[in-house]
Amino acid sequence: MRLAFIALALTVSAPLAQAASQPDPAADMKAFQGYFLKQFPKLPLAAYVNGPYNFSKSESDQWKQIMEFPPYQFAVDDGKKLFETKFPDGKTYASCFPNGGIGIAQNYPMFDAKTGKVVTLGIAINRCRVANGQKKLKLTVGPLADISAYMTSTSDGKPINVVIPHNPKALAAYEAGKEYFYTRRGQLNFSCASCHVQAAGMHLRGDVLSPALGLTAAFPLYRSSWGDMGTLVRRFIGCNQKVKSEPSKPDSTAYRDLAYFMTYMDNGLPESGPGARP
Amino acid sequence: MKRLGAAVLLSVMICPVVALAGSATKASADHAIASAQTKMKIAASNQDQWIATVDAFKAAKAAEQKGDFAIAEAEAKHAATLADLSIAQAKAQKKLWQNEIVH
Ligand code: HEC
Repeated sequence: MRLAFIALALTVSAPLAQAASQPDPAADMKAFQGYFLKQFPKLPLAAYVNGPYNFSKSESDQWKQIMEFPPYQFAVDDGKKLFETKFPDGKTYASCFPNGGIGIAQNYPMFDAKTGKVVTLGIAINRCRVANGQKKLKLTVGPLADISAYMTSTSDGKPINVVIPHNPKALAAYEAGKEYFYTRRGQLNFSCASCHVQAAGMHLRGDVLSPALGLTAAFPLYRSSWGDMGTLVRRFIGCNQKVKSEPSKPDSTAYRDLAYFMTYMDNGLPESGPGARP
Repeated sequence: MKRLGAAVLLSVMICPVVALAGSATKASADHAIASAQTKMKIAASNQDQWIATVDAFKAAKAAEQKGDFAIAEAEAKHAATLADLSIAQAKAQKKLWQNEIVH
């Protein structure tokens, strides 16, 4: 009986699937951004980096107050110290990144042709540590979130510029991220799009649902409900749990690809991390 | 929001189906646990393991350790049922996800 019911839910929820076509990230991005611009005609493209604050006057008033003493400033300061601290071999993080790691956060996630995998800024920081004989850091919170906050602060306002090279593995990673984003999962049978596209701007238990466009732009961010800084994967984990789905591992291919797709959709928006949220 | 409401309602209706098995033994409980585990591996490889599946499975293992084989078997069967549902969901989504794409 119950089985029959869910089977029904799974089949009725949508009409026939369309035939799969060749990946075309640039066309996808145009359509994605165009969808939201049409949906919320008063909201200029760059405003999407402010997520929920576009939709709630009380929250945005609160935000203006919070931003007089930005709660992520400690993280930026701590992150800068960590970033400049020498490894035992005498090198620093700067040695691992183009331009010494300054003003480059808007280019992540990046496709790494050598490993055939997507590398987020957090994963790149950990790679740098391993290359210099250090242990990996947690990808969700703590010192790695602080270092990311500092690096991202040096890219403030630069247009997000994720590149998907003409490499079959890069295109496959992009497509996998896209599929993950639109796939319903968990016992509640929701996709990321169910909330952040179809219900964007609406309220869910006191939260305003941010539109999917701009969702990655302010990370890492300080959330009052977390009480500290968190990276984008921390949020992925939280949103998976909301739909009663077991989260993936922070460095999983699934989350790398998801970040690749989502950040590519945000191309052209101003990098605005670190951010603050209610 | 209507869609959200409908989906929540749906999921509430798929709640637990635990029924205590009649004459469970260690062997039957272990068998049920192994069978649930196999299905859960498939669900995990689909990136679609439900939290409730893991909870039921943990409860089955804990009961098995305590020698409560009837509960262990029932919880393991519950985990297997939930895993089956999530596998069906993932299979359907292999095609259906494309309907959600923003055009
Ligand atoms: C049940 C609804 C729901 C689903 C499904 C959902 N989220 Fe969320 N998400 C939220 C809520 C609520 C928030 C907090 C308010 C906000 O910023 O939208 C949030 C916030 C976020 C944020 C932070 C936005 C910001 O500016 O602070 C990101 C990133 C995010 N979600 C990504 C995802 C991804 C990726 C998925 C799919 C794996 C997903 N979400 C699925 C409800 C959902």
